[in-house]
Amino acid sequence: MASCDVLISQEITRNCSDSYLKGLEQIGWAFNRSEIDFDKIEFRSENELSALPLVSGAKAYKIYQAGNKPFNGLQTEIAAGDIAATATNTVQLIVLDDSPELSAKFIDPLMNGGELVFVAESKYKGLKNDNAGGPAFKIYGYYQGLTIDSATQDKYSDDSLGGWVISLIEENVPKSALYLNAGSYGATKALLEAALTAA
Amino acid sequence: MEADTGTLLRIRALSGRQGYSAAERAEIEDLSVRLLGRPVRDCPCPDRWGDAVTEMAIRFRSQIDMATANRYNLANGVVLEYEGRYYTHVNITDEVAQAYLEKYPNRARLFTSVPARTKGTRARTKAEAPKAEQ
Repeated sequence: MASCDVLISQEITRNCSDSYLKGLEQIGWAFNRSEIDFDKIEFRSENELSALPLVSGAKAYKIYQAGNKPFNGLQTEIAAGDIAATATNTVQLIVLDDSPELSAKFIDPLMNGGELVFVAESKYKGLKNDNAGGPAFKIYGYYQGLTIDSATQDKYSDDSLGGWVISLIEENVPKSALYLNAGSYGATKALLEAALTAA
Repeated sequence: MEADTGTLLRIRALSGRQGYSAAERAEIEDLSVRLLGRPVRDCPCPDRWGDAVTEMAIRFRSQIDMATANRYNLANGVVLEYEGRYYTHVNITDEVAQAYLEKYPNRARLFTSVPARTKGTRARTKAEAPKAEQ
């Protein structure tokens, strides 16, 4: 299917071979979008990347969310446009920390215009699908970059226990979703775990 | 002071990270004594292992650059599947990389560097080149 196709080609039915699950795992992976090596990017399908190659010396950063609703607030909204509809992705981070290192190494770079790419792992892995593991890892920020939309630090907040609530946004995205799929759930997980170490 | 290739690559792999496991901290302690002549500084500061790695990476930078220039370096963020196993830049060996690229030469673009042709070898002719498609 090409990116300009206007004809649907799939049914919407119930998948009785696998159970649908809502929610996300507690660990996600953040990348500096400027460190993505776009020259090495390969699309496995129209909405799947087979890898997230990084430039030499770059690495991913683990993002841990505590609680039973990690990354609550992460969503995609599609709205009509003059030429075509576009999507807006929102990623919300609850950061319990409030420290000089957090400000210097995470928040200030975003305030200065830094853009992120974020990979979230769904609780729904789709391991019984034909494309087993395809739905497991979703990419946000690849097309336009996730930038800081707002950040609030409230020392009496129950949500963040005195830390930060950071909202990242990616607007004018031409795709409803983009997935990271290196061929299997295991391969993609190995890719992300290794990405935490600089090459 | 000289360090062997394995040690140099290990320093590079430990560089630029935040947080080390207990086993990695013990490894950094050992490297610090061997290569810097002293243990990791004894203080409650959480960055002391990273600082030790950074100091070693700086001191041995030219040797690390030479060690990495003459081997296969798979780009970060890529995973290869070869003979039933997954390989990333963390665990791929030169032997696996060479065998993989002999089978799939068009995948060389996923590597940030490959060794220069070694002495005594010659370029393959078109007839000898393996099939390009994966």
